[in-house]
Amino acid sequence: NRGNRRNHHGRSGGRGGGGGAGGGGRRGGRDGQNAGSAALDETNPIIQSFRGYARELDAKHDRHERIVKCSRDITIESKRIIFLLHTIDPRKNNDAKVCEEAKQRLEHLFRNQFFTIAKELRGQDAYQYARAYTHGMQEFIEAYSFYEYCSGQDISHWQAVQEKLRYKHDATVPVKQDSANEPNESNTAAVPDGSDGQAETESPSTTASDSKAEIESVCLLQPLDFVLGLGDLSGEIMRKCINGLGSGQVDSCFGHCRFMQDLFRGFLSVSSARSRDFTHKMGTLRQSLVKSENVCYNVTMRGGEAAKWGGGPSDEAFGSFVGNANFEAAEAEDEGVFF
Amino acid sequence: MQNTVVKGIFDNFNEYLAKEQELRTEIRDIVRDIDQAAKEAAITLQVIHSSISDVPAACATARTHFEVCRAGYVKLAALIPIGQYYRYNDHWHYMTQRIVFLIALTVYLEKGFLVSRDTAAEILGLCVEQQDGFHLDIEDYLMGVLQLASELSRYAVNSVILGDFEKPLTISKFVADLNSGFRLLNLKNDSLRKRFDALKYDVKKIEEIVYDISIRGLRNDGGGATAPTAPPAAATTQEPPK
Repeated sequence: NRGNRRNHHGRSGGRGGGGGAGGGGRRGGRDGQNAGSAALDETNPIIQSFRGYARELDAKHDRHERIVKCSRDITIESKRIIFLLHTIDPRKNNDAKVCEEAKQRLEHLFRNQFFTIAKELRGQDAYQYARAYTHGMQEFIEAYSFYEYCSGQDISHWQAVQEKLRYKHDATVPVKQDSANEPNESNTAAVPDGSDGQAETESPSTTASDSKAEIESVCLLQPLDFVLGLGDLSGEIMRKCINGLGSGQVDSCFGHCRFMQDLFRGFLSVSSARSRDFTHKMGTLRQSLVKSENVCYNVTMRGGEAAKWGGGPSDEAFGSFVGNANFEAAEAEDEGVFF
Repeated sequence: MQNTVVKGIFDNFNEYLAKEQELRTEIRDIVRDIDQAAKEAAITLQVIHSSISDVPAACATARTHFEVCRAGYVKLAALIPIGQYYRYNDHWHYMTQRIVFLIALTVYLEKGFLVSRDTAAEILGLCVEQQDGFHLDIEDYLMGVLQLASELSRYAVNSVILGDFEKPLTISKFVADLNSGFRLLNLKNDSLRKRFDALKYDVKKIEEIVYDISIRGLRNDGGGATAPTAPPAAATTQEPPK
């Protein structure tokens, strides 16, 4: 479902682009007509004010598109990192190496894509553009928490992640030290680096506590996005649980299962999320949970036999082993790690 | 061990949601009050479709309702944390569009021009720039203006019924200007664009009225001198059903 939504988004963006081009064409036509009839000249107050509105809307749409682009990059890279983390195989003893690489790549995302978004959001109401990067953010949270889970750390609180999305950086345009006492002024001077030169003043929302030429940009992480990201994490852990069985790491299954139970309990405790995604995600989470509970059940029931399956790490082998006809179908509908 | 971490996250999340919920309840209360005032203004302005002479009075009454709206918006502005306008604006953006429409209609009836975004914002006590605080969103303003076009097409029909053959001509000119104004915008495929697509039907409707008037020689300058004297008489005899 998430995939669909993203597609839909892309489509609407594309059509919007087409519409824009069409508008341009029409405009050309109309201007020509004007030159002939002179019925609508540029002195008309309506035309004049609408020129201003057009500029404003264009700036908004452009910024939105730039953020969407960044968000797509984040989504792709996050999926790759998750895929990478799934290659952890205790038999090869490669977890330290894989985790290190995943960490590097996550840091890279923090430093680049998210920084770009943060720069775009500076001086803006972040909630206005939150929908442009919500998918990227969720996918990233999934990757990030999965990394933490795989490397044996506790899952970070969203405030900790939010702190990492807070950037202090020098203004690329040199700022006079004199104006340092007035953060507003220094920020106005510094604007051109992120927002191609539109004269926008810093919103007071970004805490302008820094009195140096340093400015702060924040990429807003909505707690709901974080929690939805955790919901996605459950799918990865289910996979890990099943892979664990396949590779003969029977003991680890119970730990994974326990974690998912905790996660599900957390989701249940949420009273009012005002989000359709949330209820949907909870359904998926429940399915994943049931799957991994079945794994643990089978391990307990026929633990000795399971050990014999240790040679075949493939899911199909497991599917026939569990004797669950739904298994493959359920697996197919699960959103792909292998995209 | 894991348990407490996950539990902590979800406890905090619940706290966060509860706080948000509380604020939304307060917002809803204020929005309801503003909405009520807007509705009364809308009812008052319906008079224009049945009586010409009552229009100035209706505009004056509508303006008093706008004052109530303004007071509501001031309260709302105090409630919304800085930089979170778009987090909560789903509560008021439809309403704001409607109020912008009512203001635009009032100003058009009084002065005959399109209210600018600045003026509309001023009437409601809002800022124009997002950076200055609680502001009038540009899309809300444009949506309000598009609603104006639909109402004016109805107004044109009714002014003909009431015997004023001059009004449709000025309305036609005005809506044509609006139309060309909107054509300057590069609209994305969103609700604003969909609403804009309906504008051409309003334009068409009004042009047809102008056509009907012209073809019968009912234009004032075209020798139809009966128009200016007849309509006021007609208007006074037909009292609007209140």
